Amino acid sequence: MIESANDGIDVDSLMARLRKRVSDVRDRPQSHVPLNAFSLRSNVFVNSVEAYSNIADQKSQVRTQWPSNIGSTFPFSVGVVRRVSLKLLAFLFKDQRHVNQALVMALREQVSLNRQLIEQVEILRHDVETLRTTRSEADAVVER
Amino acid sequence: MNGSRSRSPASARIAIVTPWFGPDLRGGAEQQSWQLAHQLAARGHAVDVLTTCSTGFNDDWARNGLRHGSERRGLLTVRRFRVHGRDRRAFERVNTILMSLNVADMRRCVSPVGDEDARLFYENNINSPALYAYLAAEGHTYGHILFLPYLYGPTLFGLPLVAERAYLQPCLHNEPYAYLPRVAETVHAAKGLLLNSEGEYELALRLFGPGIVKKSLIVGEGVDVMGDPAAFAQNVGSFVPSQENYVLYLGRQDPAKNVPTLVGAFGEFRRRQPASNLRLVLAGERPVSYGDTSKGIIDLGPVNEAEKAALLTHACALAQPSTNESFSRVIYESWMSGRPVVVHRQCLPTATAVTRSGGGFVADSTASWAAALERLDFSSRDELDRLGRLGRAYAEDVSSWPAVIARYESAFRTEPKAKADRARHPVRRIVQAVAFEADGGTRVYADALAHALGQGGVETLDASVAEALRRAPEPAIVHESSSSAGNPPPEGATVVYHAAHPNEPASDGVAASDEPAAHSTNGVAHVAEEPAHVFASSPAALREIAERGIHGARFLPMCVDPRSWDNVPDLPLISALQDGKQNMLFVGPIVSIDYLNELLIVFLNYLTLEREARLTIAGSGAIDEEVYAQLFDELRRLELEDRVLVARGLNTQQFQAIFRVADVFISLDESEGYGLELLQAMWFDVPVIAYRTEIARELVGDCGLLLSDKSDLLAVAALAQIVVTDADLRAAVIAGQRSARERFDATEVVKAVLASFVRQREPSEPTEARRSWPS
Repeated sequence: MIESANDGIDVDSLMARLRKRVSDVRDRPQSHVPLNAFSLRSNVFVNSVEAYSNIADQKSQVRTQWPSNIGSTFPFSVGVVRRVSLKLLAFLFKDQRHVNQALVMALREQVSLNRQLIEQVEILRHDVETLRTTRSEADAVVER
Repeated sequence: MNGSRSRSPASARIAIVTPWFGPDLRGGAEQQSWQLAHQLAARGHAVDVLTTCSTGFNDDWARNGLRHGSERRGLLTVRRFRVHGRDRRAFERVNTILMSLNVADMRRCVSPVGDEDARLFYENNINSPALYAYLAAEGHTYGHILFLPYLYGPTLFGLPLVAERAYLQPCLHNEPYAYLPRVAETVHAAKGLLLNSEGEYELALRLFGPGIVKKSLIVGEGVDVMGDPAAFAQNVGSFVPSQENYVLYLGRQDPAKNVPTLVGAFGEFRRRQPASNLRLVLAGERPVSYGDTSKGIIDLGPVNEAEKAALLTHACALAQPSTNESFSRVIYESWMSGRPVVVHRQCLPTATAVTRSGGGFVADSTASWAAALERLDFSSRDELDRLGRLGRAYAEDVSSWPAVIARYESAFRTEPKAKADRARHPVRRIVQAVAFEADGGTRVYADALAHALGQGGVETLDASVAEALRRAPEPAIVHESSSSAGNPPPEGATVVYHAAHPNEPASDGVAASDEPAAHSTNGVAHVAEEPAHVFASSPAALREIAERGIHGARFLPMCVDPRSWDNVPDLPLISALQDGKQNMLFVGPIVSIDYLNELLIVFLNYLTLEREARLTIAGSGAIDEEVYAQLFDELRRLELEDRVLVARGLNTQQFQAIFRVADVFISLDESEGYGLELLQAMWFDVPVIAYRTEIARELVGDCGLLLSDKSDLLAVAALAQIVVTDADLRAAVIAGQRSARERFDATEVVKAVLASFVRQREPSEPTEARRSWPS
């Protein structure tokens, strides 16, 4: 059925895959499984939570460079003043930084847990659909 | 350093336009422009650098920290222009939006922000009106003007002022900025594109389409490494590289460089392998520190060249987690130091380089990065050395300065070469005549040939055969078919023979018009004694004239010039078609409901495999109104109105839009046409699945997938799904199509036509009829 002189294409292997795919489609029961919209939506949501936690993580690190958009006038134009100021800030907010990091880690654990739950829900949904199909087939047999 | 100081033939004055220029700037594009300017000057080119008075990327873009005016710097002339004030808050607001966007959500040719925000981004970027005024006034005094990188005001506003002599070296990353409309306009306006790597070229093709193919050249990027080990530093602070087992990250320690992924992966690796002594060393400027010695992460901060060389030489491997690289100098520096690399799979330029060279590993998720680190930790030194050698062999080819500069010179020589080609062909003007009642397809064929000849510097004059006869011995191309009547073509004319009914199906390999026509082969018979003068526009036409005993003709495919797509596609259409659905495409004549019905059934079957899909049927060439109406009836009957887009009378931009987003091109049409749509699909890198007609075998047979049997339409749908979803198969088909389309390229067609005129003056030997193209 397929022809190709392209050296990169193994036509025999492609034909074998094609036959299997077609036979899978023909053999499978008529499915009414809805689109995996729930899973998609949930993953988008979880991804955005993870993105926020990444931003929080980045911002919770110790700052070692003077921001270019603030304080370029004296005395903040002096390198020593900048270094001392950065060290002072790092010292003052040490506890806060630890709190932030702990919160970020907690959030990441939550994200991980949510992902597992979404996977579990998907598996359960699939099982429900399979059961529903089997039952309708059984009902049809009983009616006959 | 390299090359002689003698001035090469291509050395017209060269200007390099870049926002920042200086020896101490660390950014990739800044280093590239510095080194490139010096290397070109050392090679004997007169180089001016046109830049701003801004001191660097990390400083205020509105502050003129450097003196404006012209200065001589070694062999270079550096002209600095004042930057102007800007609304930094407005810029930062839009920039923050752009940086927060996920590149996976970007749609080709669709702006990631609104028009007003995009305008604020351009206008409050680094800008120098004085530089633009200079380009407008003095740009014509330069032979070639090179702009880099793509993202800043000098390129976005400066390049269009001198577009006819402008080369753009975009240093392109797959990032939201690359999707801004003005970036696309600038890319299309440039005379040439110079790319740092194959991966960057692939990215540019994906973003800007096949219109850039003819003007793109991969030049590579030169990388210098410190050669003398005696000059290497022994230690970096308290860290002694030769006594440590470490993976090195070298570069800005910035979230934008995806350093958090590497740090996270290293943490995961340490959890899995707590006994390992492998460390992660971070070297480079950083706004924040990721160092944590308790976790084996050592932050060395900025390092000098001697320290960098020592770190590279003794590292286990270099890690480059960034997804936004157009080249990544550090991976080439690592390879030149004999060390393997680990790069991010989603960064096409670096991933392509690693795949091609075999000099390391690719990884994407945190887990796969951790696995790559484990693999490095478990590998013997010999194995790592072997990978490093593979990388080094590749780097020496891609990133040695003599080779890189030679590629720049070849880009700058393109225009003189074209002129030289023209000089070799004495033909300046050709009279083109169609000797029969031409249908739309033949007219398109003749127009495309005239256009391609025009691109080759040959003027074509449309005329009747009688007019061509009057103008003899002026060179003439006469289009003939079996229905041609009247005057034979002028002596010495080149004849292009067309099949009688190209849009009607052939049966069992018999020509569409196997019944000899009353006035058959007038012109062909006349010139048959000189086979070099006869071409056939399709395999069917070739066979038709061969059956009449005329041998030696050659197949001359329809000219497809991708330069016609070097512009922005229809934006509303391309935006609408990128809604997450897969796009199946058919473009062709709508003259029979049979193959359209089959196509709809294939699509129905496809929907059972992939629920989110769309079929686009675009009428091109002949359209039968009755069949067109029947098609809509079928759509209603099958309840496919919402899933199938039917269109006709599309303009070039609209065709470009539907080809750009297509995932697969399917043609079940059995008629023997010119194969224009197949060639177009091949240019747009859309995998082709076509019924095995003669023209499809000629054009697609060597590269794509032909269907010898379409009785099982579910199997056709399944094949389409495999092609769409199997990345390896898709890549193999596209690679084949790319090499095939080169063989049918318009430049080759023009060469063959012009050669036929030259051969008329030379004695020709009889040749066997050939079906292959080119000779």
